[in-house]
Amino acid sequence: MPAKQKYLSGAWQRFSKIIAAIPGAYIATMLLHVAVAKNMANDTPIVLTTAYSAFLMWVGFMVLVFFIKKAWHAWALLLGISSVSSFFIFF
Amino acid sequence: MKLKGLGKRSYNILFHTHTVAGIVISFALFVIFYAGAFSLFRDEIIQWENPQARETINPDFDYAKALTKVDSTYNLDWHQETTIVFPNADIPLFTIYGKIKDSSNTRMAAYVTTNTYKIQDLYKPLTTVSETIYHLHYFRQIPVLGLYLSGLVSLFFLFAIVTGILIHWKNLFNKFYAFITKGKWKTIWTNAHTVLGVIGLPFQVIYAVTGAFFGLLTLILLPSVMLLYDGDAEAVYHKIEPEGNIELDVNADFSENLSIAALSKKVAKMYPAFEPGYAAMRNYKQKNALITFYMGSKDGDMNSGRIVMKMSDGSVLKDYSFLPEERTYSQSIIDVITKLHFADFGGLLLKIMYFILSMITCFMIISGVLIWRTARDNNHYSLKQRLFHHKVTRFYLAICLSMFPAFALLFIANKLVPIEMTQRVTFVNQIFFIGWLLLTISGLFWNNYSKINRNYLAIGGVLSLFIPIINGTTTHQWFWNTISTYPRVAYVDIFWLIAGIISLYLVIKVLKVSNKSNKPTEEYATRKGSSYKQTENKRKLKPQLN
Repeated sequence: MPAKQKYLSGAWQRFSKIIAAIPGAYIATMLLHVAVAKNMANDTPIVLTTAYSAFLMWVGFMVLVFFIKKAWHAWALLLGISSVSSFFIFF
Repeated sequence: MKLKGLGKRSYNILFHTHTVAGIVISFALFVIFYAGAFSLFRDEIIQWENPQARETINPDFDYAKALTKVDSTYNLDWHQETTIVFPNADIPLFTIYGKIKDSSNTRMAAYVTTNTYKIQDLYKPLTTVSETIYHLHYFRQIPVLGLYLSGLVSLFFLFAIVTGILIHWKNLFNKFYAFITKGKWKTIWTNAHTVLGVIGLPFQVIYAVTGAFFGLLTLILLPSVMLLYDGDAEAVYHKIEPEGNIELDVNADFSENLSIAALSKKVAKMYPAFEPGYAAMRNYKQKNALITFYMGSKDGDMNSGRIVMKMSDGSVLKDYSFLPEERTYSQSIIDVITKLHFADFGGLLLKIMYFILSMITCFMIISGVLIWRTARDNNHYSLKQRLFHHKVTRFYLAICLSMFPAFALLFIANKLVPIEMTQRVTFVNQIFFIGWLLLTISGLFWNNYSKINRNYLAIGGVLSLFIPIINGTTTHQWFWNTISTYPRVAYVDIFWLIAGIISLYLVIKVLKVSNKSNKPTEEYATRKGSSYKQTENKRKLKPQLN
């Protein structure tokens, strides 16, 4: 029953994925939410929706990070989302 | 009927994350759910624990007189928002939350009894059963970090739910009815864990999301505050309560405004289907004073409304007011999250259902830990590893299962420590926390899991039976009398009576306790085709968590 070891990633991959899954996914989630709110005429519904959608998205990204085989692929995805969102926030 | 499951790699990866996340949060999550289940009945417990809350509401209660008395004790800053909670059937006391007129605007909270106008500070409360349990629910006893910790536990609970559902996706339909109580222990624990997990899913998702919201509120609002409003947190709060945007001149003249009772009566007359539960006011006693009545529906649906009024003449500010059925999406979100979490939308029956669902969730958490341990109790693991799994399991069981006798002890301590005693709240808390610690430590001496369970049930059962008796003898209000005068008090007594009888029945008639220790030894039935020694070399190549 315990997960078969041959499928699990090594220590460094694992460490990198944990960092990506917790603070990394948080930053990507929040930037995406703020980017959407910023580009709305009325940002109130988006800012308040964050109260629940942020957690669902954060956990969704977490699962995705572990699902993706290589840690750097997961990082590329999160950094991609963050930079596109930042572009819409700051420019 | 079977669904298409995950691939081999994804299954194992997600299974592993589910195990690690689950084990890390397990006992904290158990404490949260167990304390939360009791916190659902906070109002009932307040009336049970506090003799001042066992009063009939004085129909001629004068709000102005009470406020003047509170002001003379605390010196309130009326320009700041002051919230008042009207006495109701649950808590027949008039509660005030305000700010003190000093340099740092210290918060205050107090209630006034309606018959004798006696003031009781809520920061130095008279009794502390429901409050201790409620604070334990989000680890408030740990300064600052406790709330965030509980929020993170909630977040990882959501993660464990999602991964748990994904790994059982293939057999998801079976999980609705596969109540199998036969076979090997590992199978029994697994079935219990997965079936209860799938059946309780909506409830658990609601609590994982709303719990994360309350714990990590700051973390979620911070980016919006910093990036959208240049660090102005008020701007976000005013989205929830727009009347906060109305600037009130602090130097306005004083005037004789309409009384709160008259305004409240006016609101009740205008909207007879709704009941004003509490109100918030600014610039009380000044010409430009505003009051917001928070309305709930008597039918108890999900919604609540808000009526903003000028206190001088009782005219309604239409732009800021709305009734429950006419509010927008933005006006509802935070309120719906709160109602879902506090379960105050369906009366007592809903709370009882939620209590049972919480207990099921607690059972699920424990069964998860037992799967973890049983699945590792074989020759794939060294004796040292197996001993470690055993110690962790025993420690978890001791902390979690001792909560039942510890809570009973808290209720007893509340009645046995004299009400006149100064520092009684600290003393009651000490009895509870030290009692819980001692109960946990004694559990570490029992090497058999069934014995740990049996012993705590026995101690808890006996203590539970004492609760209605001690309440009856100390307050002279036995539950057969209070059922007609203060039903909430009787419910608490009857709950403990039933809990005590059920647990003692289980201890004497149902539970089979073996004297065989669960502590791992060298002798173990070899698992088919492999032994620890064969896999040892492989394992040395790859250091791992479990």
